[in-house]
Amino acid sequence: MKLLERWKMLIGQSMALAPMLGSPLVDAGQTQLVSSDWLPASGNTPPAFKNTLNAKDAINIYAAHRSHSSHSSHRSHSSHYSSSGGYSAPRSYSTPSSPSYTPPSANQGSTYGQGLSAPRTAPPSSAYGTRPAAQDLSALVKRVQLALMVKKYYSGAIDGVMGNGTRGALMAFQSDSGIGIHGRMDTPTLNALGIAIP
Amino acid sequence: MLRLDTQFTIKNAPQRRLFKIITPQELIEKGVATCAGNAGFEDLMLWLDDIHVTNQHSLMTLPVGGFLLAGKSLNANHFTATTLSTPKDPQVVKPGDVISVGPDSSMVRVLYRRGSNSNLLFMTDRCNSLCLMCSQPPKDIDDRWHIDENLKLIDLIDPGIEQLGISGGEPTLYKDGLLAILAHAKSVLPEKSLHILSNGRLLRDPSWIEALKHVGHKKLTWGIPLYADNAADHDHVVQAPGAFSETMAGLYNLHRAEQHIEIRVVLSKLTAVRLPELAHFIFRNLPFASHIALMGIENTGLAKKNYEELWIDPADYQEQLNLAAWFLDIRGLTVSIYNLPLCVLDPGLRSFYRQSISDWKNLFIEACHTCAATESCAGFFKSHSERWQSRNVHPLSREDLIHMQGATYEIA
Repeated sequence: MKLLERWKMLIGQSMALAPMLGSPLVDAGQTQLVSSDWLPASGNTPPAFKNTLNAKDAINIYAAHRSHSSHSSHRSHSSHYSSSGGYSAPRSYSTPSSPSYTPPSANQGSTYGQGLSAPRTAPPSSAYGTRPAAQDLSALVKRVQLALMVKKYYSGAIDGVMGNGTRGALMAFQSDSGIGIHGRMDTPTLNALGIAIP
Repeated sequence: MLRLDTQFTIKNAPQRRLFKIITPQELIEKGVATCAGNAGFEDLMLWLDDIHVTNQHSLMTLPVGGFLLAGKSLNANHFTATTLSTPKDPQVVKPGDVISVGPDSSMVRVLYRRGSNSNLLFMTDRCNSLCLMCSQPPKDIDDRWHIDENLKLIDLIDPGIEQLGISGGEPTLYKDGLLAILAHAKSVLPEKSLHILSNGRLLRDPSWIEALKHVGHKKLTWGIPLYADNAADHDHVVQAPGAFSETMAGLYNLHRAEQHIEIRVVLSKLTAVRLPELAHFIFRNLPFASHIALMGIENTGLAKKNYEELWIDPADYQEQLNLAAWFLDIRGLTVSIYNLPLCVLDPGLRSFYRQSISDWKNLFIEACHTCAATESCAGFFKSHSERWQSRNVHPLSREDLIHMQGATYEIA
């Protein structure tokens, strides 16, 4: 084959290969063993986790309780649950229930079992429309009052009573936080205050 | 190293009781759930810092058990609640800790320290042995009150995984109390593993078998010392005739009761010489032991006055230590070496070494300044002194550490 024809063939082959010049295969270095799209595309932010302190569908028996005195409103509990977006499977945030303590065999004459408390029993979370015990409710209201005080919405006594002052402060907080302004300790409110449902 | 007690100015503490220290933030977030068991607001002591000074009056209307004024700008006067202020060492008591406060003394004791690696339940100062190297010399007093204190303490400590020690004195001396504490811990703190230090002598009583099976704590280990393969030497170390056979009977009862057993040996001139024979004895007679701990001696308590009988330079027992540790290890028993500084250890024993000294009683000495191994070394006991120091203490270099990885030889 004459030299000119050989050159034409070479150039033709090079033209055919030209598109490959820009590709990673051209460079035989180690770093090209991985294709260059393993890096996240610029402009992507790291994943954001939107978990809240209490799960959105966690059972919150304190949410329906309007005030310490109005126990007659409990008949409306079932409608309350259905209005908050449907009942989903209960997810318990209480401590797991353990067998209550029994002292070692009675004939040993042990005197250490009697006064003992069982592990902390949380309110039964699977019961529909349960009313919280007065002491548990009072403890939660104290935490709410403390949280409101720290955030400068409330300056009264921390007494565990959901009175007008406390409810007013709570509603002001709810308003500022863009959640439902109803003065009740529902799950979004407790999340915003940073309170884990007892 | 951080001590477990310090003085406070205490106001309005009518009787001795326990408090759980809690910040307002944690009280908001967790309430009494910060305690593992049944606790009420009255068990809490609110930790107030300088940032709370503007709210101090309102915060002190909180119906908690008491207040700890940690901030210097806080005023302790004109309050009827129990208040603690002006600590001598402000690092000792921190949020999450459980403290004991009483009107009889200005000393506040930390019974539980959040984040510590060595929390323990102290059962009694009494003991039925009198080991020559005892680090907690016994007192013959009725201190049953420890039991109720520990039951309350269990309710107040943080939930979560951790190992709790149970020690004394001899914990088995208050049998019902110990069983009650085990049962309560199982009920309130099932995730925490318990490690009881006992001489095992009283466990020769077979009624312990049924009692322990009944409690059924699944994460319980008994640490029982055995100092020789023969009664004469062991009884001499513990200064109690008959102790060796009582302990052996106790060990077999523990095994019958399906308990986990750890054999502990304090290395001294009295025990190091026959260490290989002891290892042989353990393998033949106590093959069910889950763990064998070979421990450097602590120069405190009775050990000080028995220096002549006890002191041997660890450099002089490395050969016996090697024989014993590898003999057991190759037969499938788990061995650990505790309480020695890393530099005196034979490099071939590196794989058994543990960083074992409790965080409230360990320290390093001047020779350790340039050592590359302080991150992995147990250090020294705070009671350490010159005459209890090996001639081989020296700073380690990085090359030394490289040669310590793994074993350089094995012995069958």
